[in-house]
Order: sequence, then C-alpha cells, then structure tokens
Amino acid sequence: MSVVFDDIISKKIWDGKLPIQISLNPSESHSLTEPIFIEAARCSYLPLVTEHLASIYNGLGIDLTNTDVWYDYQGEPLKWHYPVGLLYDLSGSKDRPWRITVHFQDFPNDILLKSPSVEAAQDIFMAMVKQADFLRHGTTKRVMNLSKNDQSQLWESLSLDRFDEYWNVNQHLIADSDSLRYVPLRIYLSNQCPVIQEVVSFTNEGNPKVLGDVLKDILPDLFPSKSATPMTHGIRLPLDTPIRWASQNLSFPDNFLHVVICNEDS
Amino acid sequence: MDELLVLQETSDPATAKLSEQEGETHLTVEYHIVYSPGYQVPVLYFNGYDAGKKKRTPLSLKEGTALSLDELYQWIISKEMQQSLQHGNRLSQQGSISQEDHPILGFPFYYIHPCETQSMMRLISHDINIHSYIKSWLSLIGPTIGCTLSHQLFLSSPTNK
Repeated sequence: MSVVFDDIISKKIWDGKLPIQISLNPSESHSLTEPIFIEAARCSYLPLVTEHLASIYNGLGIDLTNTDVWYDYQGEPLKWHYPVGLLYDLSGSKDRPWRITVHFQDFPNDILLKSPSVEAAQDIFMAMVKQADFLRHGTTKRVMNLSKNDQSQLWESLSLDRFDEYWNVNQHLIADSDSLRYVPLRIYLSNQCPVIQEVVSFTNEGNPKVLGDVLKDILPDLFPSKSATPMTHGIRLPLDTPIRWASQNLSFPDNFLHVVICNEDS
Repeated sequence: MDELLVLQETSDPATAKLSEQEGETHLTVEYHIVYSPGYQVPVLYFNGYDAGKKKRTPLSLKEGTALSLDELYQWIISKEMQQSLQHGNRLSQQGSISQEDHPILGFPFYYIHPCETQSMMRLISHDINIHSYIKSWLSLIGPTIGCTLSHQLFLSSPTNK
C-alpha cells in the first residue's frame, strides 16, 4: 500500500513563515539603530536571510564578502546550518516577532561552524539530502544520478521559494516505496543536548510504525508520557502519526524530519 | 546513546614543534572515533589546538585556540595530500574533510566524511572480523591526518585477539 503524497500539507509546510525582528548589537556602533523586521520561511537558513538583507547590511557599511555574519537569541549563538523554523521551535520562544540580534564581529568559532556563507549552507544541505537518500534506500545513487543542474536546483528553488521547481527534482529522491530502510529523523531535546539520531526502521516486522512507536524506542524514559510532546514546523504531532506519511510529507527540504521534544505545558 | 562508540586518542597526541624566537610552540591534536547512525560506519573526528595562542573559551577542551583547516593542512595533514586542497578538501578515496557539530560534544569538529567508507572497506574485506574492523579502518584513514597506529596492534600474540 503506497503512501499518498499530500501536496496540500506539503505546500503548507513549505509556506510556513516566521516574523523576525533583528536588532543590531549596540556594542558594534552603527548608524542605524532601528531593528529590522522580516518574514522568513521556516524552511530557510540564516545565511539566506543574511543574503536577503544584504542591501540593508551594506548600507550600514558592512562589507559582506569579508564578514562572518551571525545571530543570537538571548545570548545563545544560533546555528546557521539549522533551518530557521527548527531554531525557533528549539528556542522555546513564543514571541512573534521572534527577537534576535545580528553580529558582524567576534564570530564564535568554538560554538558555530566556520564561514556562514550561502555556499557553505548549500554544502551542508546537500550532505543532509545525500544522507537522507542513503538512510531511505541504502545507497546515495538517486542523489548522485541527478544532473548537476538538478542538484543545484534543489537548493536554488529553496532559496528562491519555488515549490514546484523543488519538487520537480525531489520527487525522484523521495518516491515512496515498500522497501524503505531507515527513517531520516533527528530529534532535539534542547539546545544543550546533543542531537539524537539513531537507526530507525519504517516497519516493525512488516507492520507500519507510528511516531509514538519510534519515540518509545529512542526515548523510552519520555514516551509514552503525558508531559512530552513532539513538534515540527511549530505543529504538535499526534503520536499515532504514521511514520512513513510523516517522512513523506512533514520533512524539511533536506528530506529529514527534524522533531523537537517540548513540554506539554509550555 | 550506547551505540555510539567513542575512543579518545589523547594518549597519542600528534605534536609539531615550531621553532620561533620566543621558543617552541606545541600543537595538540585530538582524534575521536564516533559511530555514524546515518551511514552505519565509524567516523574520524579531529581538532587541533595551538597552546601558544592563549584564548580560553568555556567550550574548549584544550587550552589554546583551535587550528583552522589551513593550519591543519600545514601541520597535520600529510604532504602527499596537500594537492587535495585543489579538489575541495578531498582525501582521495577516503572522503572529504568537512566540519560539523561533534555528535556527542555538540561543538565544531573536523571530520572525514563517511560516505566512501563502506566501499573503501569492501576493498579489503577478506579476513575482517568485527574486532579488527576498527584497527583496519583506522590504519587506512588515520595516517593522512596524522593519526598513526603502532604496528604492535597488528602483531598476533596470545593476548591480542
């Protein structure tokens, strides 16, 4: 039985946006003192946000070609290789707009990966796409068989917000089948906790798994439970969500499910 | 988390002595072997530190500034591999050198990308049992980034099963 690709849900996930208020760091003196307001796609990445704000940053006298731009939320540097929506859900903030600060100096090399450029973000994105392919099928040949143009198109359509162009390519990678091996899934407990990624199969002795089964295997001390709830794209997920449907329709553009475990009460 | 195997090679630091006017500078390199759930193979993570440049940060395991990839190429990575700089950090068959958050420690480490490991290990698959896998794997990819193994590990002896 094949899983139907839910294009309505998929489009809603793609179109998810976050209002963000970006303040400048007062200790880095600038002519502009007003914060910047933008609406960022949850599926986007901070280096792409930086690129969209290039004209504003240039107006402040910042030479972007020579500057490592980074952002923090309440003093915590934000990982530029994580999708924006994941960063927001992970922060636990309920603010709208989400209030973060931009920095042009003192890049925290010990905390953030170096060189937060669009090219570096694209490299890491493609590494995740390859890993998702390997997990689902046991080889990376679907990604490696894409033409160079198609490979670039995955990232470019994400950065230009072109849903149809993205899926023109991604449909070849994510085609559902009955012989999928492992679920591309990363679980986040909090910023201080290492990311949890384990080898998780789609079925249990032929029976399709639901999200609750997977979480019980990986986090037996938290699931089943009344206080912990899985969230992705700001959506609290029911535990009886079929994992194959979730992987097909709720993944980020890198074809991974990124799930944050939150407190039920928050 | 018990599936993650970590071996910290702090007992075998690679050191490079630089002669400077102020005296000698010592670099320390640490290597970690971590299991990759994505590719189901071991991955070699590494970072180098220059104790001479005093910059304490709360997350540094070692005192001193972390070395950049260029500095690692200069001091740690074997000369034969220097040309790989032109080919996007590729260490011939082993995979590329990239950077990501250490899976357990959570802060930036360099690592050799594991996507080629399976096919590399298949080339020498005769006689590899689970106990010799790590030794064989490390002997293949370690030396190019300065992580060498004593030949004693490969001598058969009554205690060395």
